[in-house]
Amino acid sequence: MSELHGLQTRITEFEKEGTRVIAVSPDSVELNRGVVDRFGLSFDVLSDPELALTDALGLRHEGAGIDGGDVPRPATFIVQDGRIVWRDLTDNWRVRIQADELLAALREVTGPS
Amino acid sequence: MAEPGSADGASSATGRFNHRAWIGPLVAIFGLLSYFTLFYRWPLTRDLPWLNLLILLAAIGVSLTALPRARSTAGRVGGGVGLFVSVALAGLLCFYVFSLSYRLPDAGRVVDDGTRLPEISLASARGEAVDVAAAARDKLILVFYRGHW
Repeated sequence: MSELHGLQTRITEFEKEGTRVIAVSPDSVELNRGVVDRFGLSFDVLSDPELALTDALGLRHEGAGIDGGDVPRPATFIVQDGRIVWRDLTDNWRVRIQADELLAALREVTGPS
Repeated sequence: MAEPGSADGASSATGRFNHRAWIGPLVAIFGLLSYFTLFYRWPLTRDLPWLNLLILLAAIGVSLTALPRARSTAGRVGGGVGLFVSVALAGLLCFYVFSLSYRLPDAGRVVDDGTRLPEISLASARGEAVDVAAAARDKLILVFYRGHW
Protein backbone atom coordinates (compact mmCIF):
# COMPACT_ATOMS: atom_id res chain seq x y z
CA MET A 1 0.00 0.00 0.00
CA SER A 2 2.79 2.40 0.83
CA GLU A 3 3.95 2.38 -2.79
CA LEU A 4 0.66 4.06 -3.74
CA HIS A 5 1.32 6.75 -1.17
CA GLY A 6 4.84 7.12 -2.57
CA LEU A 7 3.46 7.57 -6.10
CA GLN A 8 1.04 10.21 -4.84
CA THR A 9 3.88 12.26 -3.35
CA ARG A 10 5.47 12.55 -6.84
CA ILE A 11 2.26 12.71 -8.85
CA THR A 12 2.80 16.26 -10.13
CA GLU A 13 6.16 15.19 -11.53
CA PHE A 14 4.57 12.26 -13.34
CA GLU A 15 1.95 14.64 -14.70
CA LYS A 16 4.66 17.04 -15.86
CA GLU A 17 6.08 14.14 -17.87
CA GLY A 18 2.67 13.80 -19.51
CA THR A 19 2.20 10.47 -17.80
CA ARG A 20 -0.94 9.04 -16.28
CA VAL A 21 -0.69 6.74 -13.27
CA ILE A 22 -3.04 3.81 -12.73
CA ALA A 23 -2.88 1.24 -9.95
CA VAL A 24 -4.60 -2.14 -10.16
CA SER A 25 -5.62 -4.29 -7.21
CA PRO A 26 -7.71 -7.44 -6.84
CA ASP A 27 -9.88 -5.66 -4.25
CA SER A 28 -13.47 -4.52 -4.63
CA VAL A 29 -14.38 -0.99 -5.70
CA GLU A 30 -15.47 -0.28 -2.11
CA LEU A 31 -12.12 -1.35 -0.63
CA ASN A 32 -10.25 0.65 -3.26
CA ARG A 33 -12.36 3.70 -2.45
CA GLY A 34 -11.24 3.34 1.17
CA VAL A 35 -7.60 3.26 0.07
CA VAL A 36 -8.06 6.26 -2.25
CA ASP A 37 -9.69 8.27 0.55
CA ARG A 38 -7.21 7.22 3.21
CA PHE A 39 -4.12 8.17 1.19
CA GLY A 40 -5.76 11.03 -0.72
CA LEU A 41 -4.87 9.44 -4.07
CA SER A 42 -5.56 11.57 -7.14
CA PHE A 43 -4.85 8.75 -9.61
CA ASP A 44 -7.15 5.87 -10.46
CA VAL A 45 -7.06 2.63 -8.48
CA LEU A 46 -8.80 0.00 -10.57
CA SER A 47 -10.47 -3.12 -9.31
CA ASP A 48 -9.55 -6.44 -10.98
CA PRO A 49 -11.34 -9.04 -8.82
CA GLU A 50 -11.56 -11.57 -11.68
CA LEU A 51 -7.85 -11.01 -12.42
CA ALA A 52 -8.69 -10.31 -16.10
CA LEU A 53 -5.94 -7.75 -16.68
CA THR A 54 -3.69 -9.58 -14.21
CA ASP A 55 -3.91 -12.77 -16.29
CA ALA A 56 -3.62 -10.92 -19.60
CA LEU A 57 -0.20 -9.75 -18.43
CA GLY A 58 0.80 -13.05 -16.82
CA LEU A 59 0.88 -11.68 -13.27
CA ARG A 60 -1.27 -14.17 -11.36
CA HIS A 61 0.37 -15.38 -8.15
CA GLU A 62 -1.53 -18.46 -7.03
CA GLY A 63 -2.52 -18.76 -3.40
CA ALA A 64 -0.61 -15.67 -2.31
CA GLY A 65 -3.58 -13.69 -0.98
CA ILE A 66 -4.18 -13.36 2.73
CA ASP A 67 -7.22 -15.65 2.35
CA GLY A 68 -5.26 -18.13 0.22
CA GLY A 69 -6.76 -16.78 -3.00
CA ASP A 70 -4.88 -15.66 -6.08
CA VAL A 71 -3.52 -12.11 -6.35
CA PRO A 72 -1.31 -10.25 -8.83
CA ARG A 73 2.40 -10.35 -8.12
CA PRO A 74 3.68 -6.82 -7.48
CA ALA A 75 4.71 -5.33 -10.82
CA THR A 76 5.18 -1.93 -12.39
CA PHE A 77 5.02 -1.18 -16.11
CA ILE A 78 5.75 1.88 -18.19
CA VAL A 79 3.48 1.90 -21.24
CA GLN A 80 3.87 4.20 -24.23
CA ASP A 81 1.66 4.33 -27.30
CA GLY A 82 -0.24 1.31 -25.97
CA ARG A 83 2.84 -0.90 -25.64
CA ILE A 84 4.85 -1.94 -22.61
CA VAL A 85 8.27 -0.32 -22.88
CA TRP A 86 9.65 -1.08 -19.41
CA ARG A 87 8.76 -3.34 -16.52
CA ASP A 88 9.86 -3.93 -12.96
CA LEU A 89 9.11 -7.33 -11.44
CA THR A 90 10.50 -7.37 -7.97
CA ASP A 91 12.09 -10.66 -6.88
CA ASN A 92 10.83 -10.02 -3.35
CA TRP A 93 7.23 -8.99 -2.88
CA ARG A 94 8.00 -6.89 0.16
CA VAL A 95 10.31 -4.65 -1.85
CA ARG A 96 8.73 -2.36 -4.44
CA ILE A 97 10.24 0.19 -6.74
CA GLN A 98 10.34 3.69 -5.24
CA ALA A 99 8.63 6.63 -6.93
CA ASP A 100 12.02 8.34 -7.46
CA GLU A 101 13.46 5.32 -9.27
CA LEU A 102 10.31 5.00 -11.34
CA LEU A 103 10.47 8.66 -12.33
CA ALA A 104 14.10 8.22 -13.39
CA ALA A 105 13.20 5.13 -15.43
CA LEU A 106 10.30 6.99 -17.04
CA ARG A 107 12.56 9.86 -18.13
CA GLU A 108 15.19 7.47 -19.43
CA VAL A 109 12.85 5.16 -21.33
CA THR A 110 10.37 7.58 -22.82
CA GLY A 111 12.57 10.63 -23.27
CA PRO A 112 11.43 14.26 -22.91
CA SER A 113 7.70 14.77 -23.23
CA MET B 1 12.73 -26.92 49.31
CA ALA B 2 9.66 -24.75 49.61
CA GLU B 3 11.15 -21.41 48.73
CA PRO B 4 8.96 -18.36 48.92
CA GLY B 5 8.06 -17.18 45.47
CA SER B 6 9.46 -20.21 43.68
CA ALA B 7 6.05 -21.48 42.69
CA ASP B 8 6.02 -19.00 39.87
CA GLY B 9 7.87 -20.12 36.78
CA ALA B 10 9.80 -16.91 36.49
CA SER B 11 10.73 -16.39 40.10
CA SER B 12 14.17 -16.59 41.55
CA ALA B 13 15.15 -18.37 44.76
CA THR B 14 15.42 -15.08 46.56
CA GLY B 15 11.72 -14.62 46.06
CA ARG B 16 12.32 -11.70 43.72
CA PHE B 17 10.43 -11.90 40.48
CA ASN B 18 12.77 -12.57 37.56
CA HIS B 19 11.32 -9.94 35.25
CA ARG B 20 13.73 -10.60 32.42
CA ALA B 21 12.21 -14.01 31.79
CA TRP B 22 9.01 -12.24 30.75
CA ILE B 23 10.37 -9.02 29.31
CA GLY B 24 12.36 -10.95 26.68
CA PRO B 25 9.37 -12.64 25.00
CA LEU B 26 7.22 -9.52 25.40
CA VAL B 27 9.84 -7.46 23.57
CA ALA B 28 10.02 -10.22 20.95
CA ILE B 29 6.25 -10.10 20.40
CA PHE B 30 6.51 -6.33 19.95
CA GLY B 31 9.47 -6.83 17.61
CA LEU B 32 7.46 -9.14 15.39
CA LEU B 33 4.05 -7.43 15.44
CA SER B 34 5.36 -3.88 15.05
CA TYR B 35 6.80 -4.84 11.67
CA PHE B 36 3.39 -5.68 10.25
CA THR B 37 1.46 -2.93 12.01
CA LEU B 38 3.92 -0.03 11.95
CA PHE B 39 7.34 -0.35 10.35
CA TYR B 40 5.98 -1.99 7.20
CA ARG B 41 4.76 1.45 6.13
CA TRP B 42 8.14 2.98 5.30
CA PRO B 43 10.53 1.53 2.73
CA LEU B 44 13.46 2.40 5.02
CA THR B 45 12.24 0.01 7.72
CA ARG B 46 10.36 -2.38 5.42
CA ASP B 47 12.74 -3.43 2.65
CA LEU B 48 15.34 -4.60 5.16
CA PRO B 49 13.59 -4.74 8.58
CA TRP B 50 16.76 -3.83 10.46
CA LEU B 51 14.86 -2.14 13.27
CA ASN B 52 12.64 -5.16 13.96
CA LEU B 53 15.58 -7.54 13.70
CA LEU B 54 17.45 -5.39 16.25
CA ILE B 55 14.44 -5.44 18.60
CA LEU B 56 14.24 -9.22 18.31
CA LEU B 57 17.98 -9.53 18.89
CA ALA B 58 17.59 -7.41 22.03
CA ALA B 59 14.72 -9.67 23.13
CA ILE B 60 16.94 -12.73 22.78
CA GLY B 61 19.65 -10.91 24.74
CA VAL B 62 17.25 -10.11 27.59
CA SER B 63 16.00 -13.71 27.61
CA LEU B 64 19.59 -14.98 27.77
CA THR B 65 20.45 -12.78 30.73
CA ALA B 66 17.35 -14.09 32.53
CA LEU B 67 18.72 -17.64 32.56
CA PRO B 68 21.58 -17.29 35.09
CA ARG B 69 19.27 -15.27 37.35
CA ALA B 70 16.89 -18.18 37.84
CA ARG B 71 17.65 -19.90 41.12
CA SER B 72 14.88 -22.52 41.12
CA THR B 73 13.94 -25.25 38.68
CA ALA B 74 10.69 -23.47 37.91
CA GLY B 75 12.58 -20.26 37.30
CA ARG B 76 14.97 -22.01 34.94
CA VAL B 77 12.08 -23.60 33.05
CA GLY B 78 10.35 -20.20 32.81
CA GLY B 79 13.56 -18.61 31.57
CA GLY B 80 14.04 -21.42 29.05
CA VAL B 81 10.51 -21.02 27.73
CA GLY B 82 11.03 -17.26 27.46
CA LEU B 83 14.24 -17.76 25.49
CA PHE B 84 12.53 -20.29 23.23
CA VAL B 85 9.69 -17.83 22.49
CA SER B 86 12.13 -14.99 21.74
CA VAL B 87 14.22 -17.15 19.41
CA ALA B 88 11.12 -18.62 17.72
CA LEU B 89 9.63 -15.18 16.99
CA ALA B 90 12.96 -13.94 15.64
CA GLY B 91 13.12 -17.05 13.46
CA LEU B 92 9.62 -16.37 12.21
CA LEU B 93 10.49 -12.85 11.05
CA CYS B 94 13.72 -14.10 9.45
CA PHE B 95 11.79 -16.80 7.60
CA TYR B 96 9.24 -14.24 6.39
CA VAL B 97 11.85 -11.72 5.31
CA PHE B 98 14.57 -13.93 3.89
CA SER B 99 12.57 -16.83 2.45
CA LEU B 100 8.82 -16.38 2.17
CA SER B 101 8.90 -12.96 0.53
CA TYR B 102 11.11 -14.26 -2.29
CA ARG B 103 8.51 -16.86 -3.26
CA LEU B 104 7.12 -15.55 -6.51
CA PRO B 105 5.97 -17.27 -9.70
CA ASP B 106 8.41 -17.63 -12.57
CA ALA B 107 8.98 -14.18 -14.10
CA GLY B 108 8.98 -15.87 -17.52
CA ARG B 109 5.19 -15.97 -17.34
CA VAL B 110 4.97 -12.19 -17.40
CA VAL B 111 4.55 -10.45 -20.76
CA ASP B 112 7.66 -8.89 -22.27
CA ASP B 113 8.40 -5.35 -23.36
CA GLY B 114 6.69 -4.59 -26.64
CA THR B 115 3.43 -6.25 -25.61
CA ARG B 116 0.31 -4.23 -26.41
CA LEU B 117 -2.05 -3.66 -23.48
CA PRO B 118 -5.34 -5.56 -23.92
CA GLU B 119 -8.61 -3.68 -24.27
CA ILE B 120 -9.96 -4.40 -20.82
CA SER B 121 -12.15 -2.06 -18.81
CA LEU B 122 -11.94 -2.12 -15.02
CA ALA B 123 -13.89 -0.16 -12.43
CA SER B 124 -12.20 2.75 -10.70
CA ALA B 125 -12.75 3.56 -7.03
CA ARG B 126 -15.45 5.99 -8.18
CA GLY B 127 -17.17 3.14 -9.98
CA GLU B 128 -16.32 4.42 -13.47
CA ALA B 129 -15.15 2.00 -16.16
CA VAL B 130 -11.58 2.76 -17.25
CA ASP B 131 -10.23 1.20 -20.46
CA VAL B 132 -6.55 0.60 -19.76
CA ALA B 133 -5.61 0.35 -23.45
CA ALA B 134 -7.18 3.75 -24.10
CA ALA B 135 -5.44 5.17 -21.03
CA ALA B 136 -2.11 3.95 -22.40
CA ARG B 137 -2.32 5.81 -25.72
CA ASP B 138 0.15 8.35 -24.45
CA LYS B 139 2.32 7.49 -21.44
CA LEU B 140 1.11 5.40 -18.57
CA ILE B 141 2.53 3.97 -15.36
CA LEU B 142 0.65 0.81 -14.50
CA VAL B 143 1.18 -0.49 -10.98
CA PHE B 144 -0.10 -3.86 -9.78
CA TYR B 145 -0.30 -4.53 -6.09
CA ARG B 146 -1.61 -7.35 -3.99
CA GLY B 147 -4.50 -5.51 -2.42
CA HIS B 148 -5.49 -4.18 0.94
CA TRP B 149 -4.44 -6.50 3.80
